[in-house]
This record gives sequence, structure tokens and C-alpha cells, in this order.
Amino acid sequence: MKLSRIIIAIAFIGYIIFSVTSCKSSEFITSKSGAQLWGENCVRCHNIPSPNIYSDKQWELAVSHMRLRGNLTKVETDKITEFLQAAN
Amino acid sequence: MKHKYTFIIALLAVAGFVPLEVHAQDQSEVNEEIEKLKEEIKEQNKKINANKPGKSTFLLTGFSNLTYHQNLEDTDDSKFAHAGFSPITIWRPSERLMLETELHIEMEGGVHGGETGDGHDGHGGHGSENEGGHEGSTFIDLGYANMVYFLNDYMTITAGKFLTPIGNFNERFHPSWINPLPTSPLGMGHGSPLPAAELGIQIRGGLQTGISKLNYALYVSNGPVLEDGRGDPERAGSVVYSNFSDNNKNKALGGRLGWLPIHNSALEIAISGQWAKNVGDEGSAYEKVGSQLVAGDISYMINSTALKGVIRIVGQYSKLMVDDAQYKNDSTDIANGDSEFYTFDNTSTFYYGLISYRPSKSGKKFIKNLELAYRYDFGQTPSDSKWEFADARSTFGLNYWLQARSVIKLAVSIGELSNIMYLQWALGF
Repeated sequence: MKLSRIIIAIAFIGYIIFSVTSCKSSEFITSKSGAQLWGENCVRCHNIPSPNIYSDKQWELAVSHMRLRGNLTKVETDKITEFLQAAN
Repeated sequence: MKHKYTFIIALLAVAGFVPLEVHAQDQSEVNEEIEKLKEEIKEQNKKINANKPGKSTFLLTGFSNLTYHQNLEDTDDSKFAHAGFSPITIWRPSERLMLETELHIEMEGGVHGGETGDGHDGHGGHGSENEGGHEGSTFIDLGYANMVYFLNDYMTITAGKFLTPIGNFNERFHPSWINPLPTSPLGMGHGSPLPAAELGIQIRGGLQTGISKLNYALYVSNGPVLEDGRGDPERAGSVVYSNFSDNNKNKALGGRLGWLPIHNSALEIAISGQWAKNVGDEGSAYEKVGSQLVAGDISYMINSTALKGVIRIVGQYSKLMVDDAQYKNDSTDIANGDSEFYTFDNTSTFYYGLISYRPSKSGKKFIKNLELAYRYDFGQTPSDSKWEFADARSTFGLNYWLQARSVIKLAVSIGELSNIMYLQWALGF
């Protein structure tokens, strides 16, 4: 069990270092539209409600909440929010 | 001639001054009107500013459900078994800061493991007798209260009571309008053997790595508390995650690492675990007893035009291991010939697999609102413990979606211990 703990700890530390050093939005993700990211990320867990159920301000909160729950990146969060606000 | 010029000058003067005087009067009225309008605008601006939202924003959302229960083997066991209301508040005072809270306000007509659709008491018998104190009464529980700081694009820090990132059901699928079945899988949900929410701090985030994505969560919490049998001999050896008083100096370390290898994020594979070196009371003989929890989870979504809809496949496997220890039999057991102390292999296993299909691309409104779901779940606690429990269930569900977040679910659960039909209306708001 001690070995597994060490492996997990190394994996997490390596992962965090990787995440910090790669603080650049992937071209792949920036090429996707907000609508596409919305469809891909939200439908994975639940039905997607109509964009008009919340106001523009409320969508900022709802998507921030989902950023945390779904481990979305800021780029994904911003694009999805912009799409929902535009479609609202 | 002199008089003639004088007359002409006088005439011009009269002709010129009279309109000028009239014009001056008009201008004065216009100026007055402008001043009045300015005042009115000022008043209107005051009213608008009074209702103008500040930078701090707030959202009230959540979900609710009502569940009807019919025991298929006992026609008398028929009731509205559960009503729940779970408001979620989200407050964001600035772009980087957020507070999210969830309350569970529930009325239960009876305690049956895994009966509620919002992830509460999904224990499937584990601990149900002890947790049955709220039978027939209103039960209020803080689901989570999590302070959040978005540190950068890829890392978020949270502190408070947060949903434990073990497996996928607890964090992703526990709200009743998201879970396609009226019940939680065995062992999962609030108040169940597996952790639902814990007190501590956490870092988490996600990042794109080429076409795939990774996400992570790492946390430190008070960890579980060992029931060593001195308080309740019938629960000796079990660990409780919902007890928020830390019984020793040791903290639990846990986390989850997820990988989404496909370009459209349809597939996620994750491993998670929690390690607690000491779970027994400090200073007691059980102080050095530790616990390890490991889990693996998967989710896959197919959004297919050929299949005219969405198929979701999700699953989770969890294994909870508590170090062996010697627990004391009570005097009745000893009088009946049992030894004073006993031990057992303290390992519990819980898993589930679920598939659902919604023909959301069908041209017929009624058909597109239907959803079929099937889940197999299994739960087993240590066979030689006094809280031994084992069950395996197949649950078949037929849902009708009234709206994107409102669903009526009809489900039949065929288990080794009982066969139950459920009817639930779940509403997300």
C-alpha cells in the first residue's frame, strides 16, 4: 500500500507540474465553437436545457458551477458561456 | 427725406424686434422643457441604479422529487416513500471567487436502502437501522458548502464541505433529475458506506492535452471514523464518512484522475482513491487501524443520428478496505458461547453499471421524450461482520421527459432481498 501511495503522489505531482507548465490553450480546443463544447461536455451527464431558462448573468454562475463539477477549463467555460448568452 | 428714412428704420426695428422677442420666449420655454427632462432622466437613472445588479451575482437552482414505492412481494407495503427538495445556491462575488451550497430537505415514509433518487441513503442496508431515525420525519442535511477560488485556467482550490470525488456517481449523477433511475446504486449516495461529502480542502481542474483531456482532484479531509463497537457493537468495524468530528490527528488523502481520450470528450475513464492512516479514536486500541478506498469509473456517451438518440453507459467499481482489528463481542454473544473478541476480513465492495437510451432525435414528440434505462448494482459488506449485507439488483426503468429537467420515472428493481416498483417525479430547477 505504501508503494501505491508513492505512485499516486508522484502521478499527481507530475500532473500538477504538467498542468502549470502547459498553461496555454490547446489549439484543438480553441478551434471548437461554444455550441460544440456545450453539446460535448454537458450531454455527457444530463439533458441540456434551453438557453433561455437563465439570464446572461445567471448563465455565468451556472457554467462556473459546472466548471467545478465537470472539471472544465476556463477556455471551455468562457466559450460555453458566450454561446449560451448569445443564444439566450 | 429725413422723416422717410426715420420711418423705414422704425418699421424695420418693429418688424425685427417683435419676432426676436417671440423667439426669445420660445427658447426660454424649450430651455425649461430641457431642464424638466434632465430632472426626469436624473430621477429615472436613480431608479435604474437602485435595481442595477452589482458585480456580485447569485443563482438559486436545485432539484426536487417525489417517490412512490410498491413492494411487489407485499401488497401492503405501498406508499409515497420519499419527498425531497434540494436547493442549490451559487454566489459569485467576483470572477475568481464562488460559494456553492446544497441542502437536502427530505421527508421519508420509510427507510429502504437506495430508495431515494437524490443520492441520500443509498446504502442498501448498510447502516440503515442506525440511520433510520428520520423515518416519517423531515430530515435536513447540508449536502455541500464549498468555497471556491479559480486560481488559474487549470486549477481551482476549494475549501469546506465538498462532494467526495470518488467514482462518478456521487459528483455527477446523484441529483434526481440527472440519475435516470429513482434509486441510487448500492453503497452510494449521502449517508451510505462510500463517502458522499467530506470536510477539507481540495485542488482540482482539467486541461486539454492534444485531442484528449485530463482532469484531476486531490484533497485532504478529516477522513472516516471507525465504529469500534464500544458505542454500538452491531456496527463494529464499519467506517462512517458522515461523522464530521475528526477523532484523531491523522487526515485522509484522496483524489481522482480522469482521462477523456476521444476528441469529443464522449469517453471518460478514471481512477480514484482515499487513504486514511488512522481511523480509530486517538488513544484507543483502534488508533492505528487504517482504511483504503479505491475506485474506478467509466462513462461513455453515444450521440448517434443512426440510432436517433443518445446512449449513455456509466459504471463504477469501489472497494473499501479497513485494516483488521479485534472487536469485542457483547455479553449476550459471550454468554451464548462466542469468544470475547472476534475479527474478520473488513472489505466491502460496491459497483454498478448503467445503460440508458433516449431517442431524442425521433420525429415523434412522444417517442423523443421517452427514455429506457437498465442498471445492475451490487453491494457486499464483510461477511463475518455483524453488519453483514449483500445484495445484487437489476433495475429496469422507463422514463418520460416532460422538459429537459423534469422527468417521470417508472422502475422495477429485482433484487436478492426485495422486488420493488418505483414511480418518481423528479424536477430540476
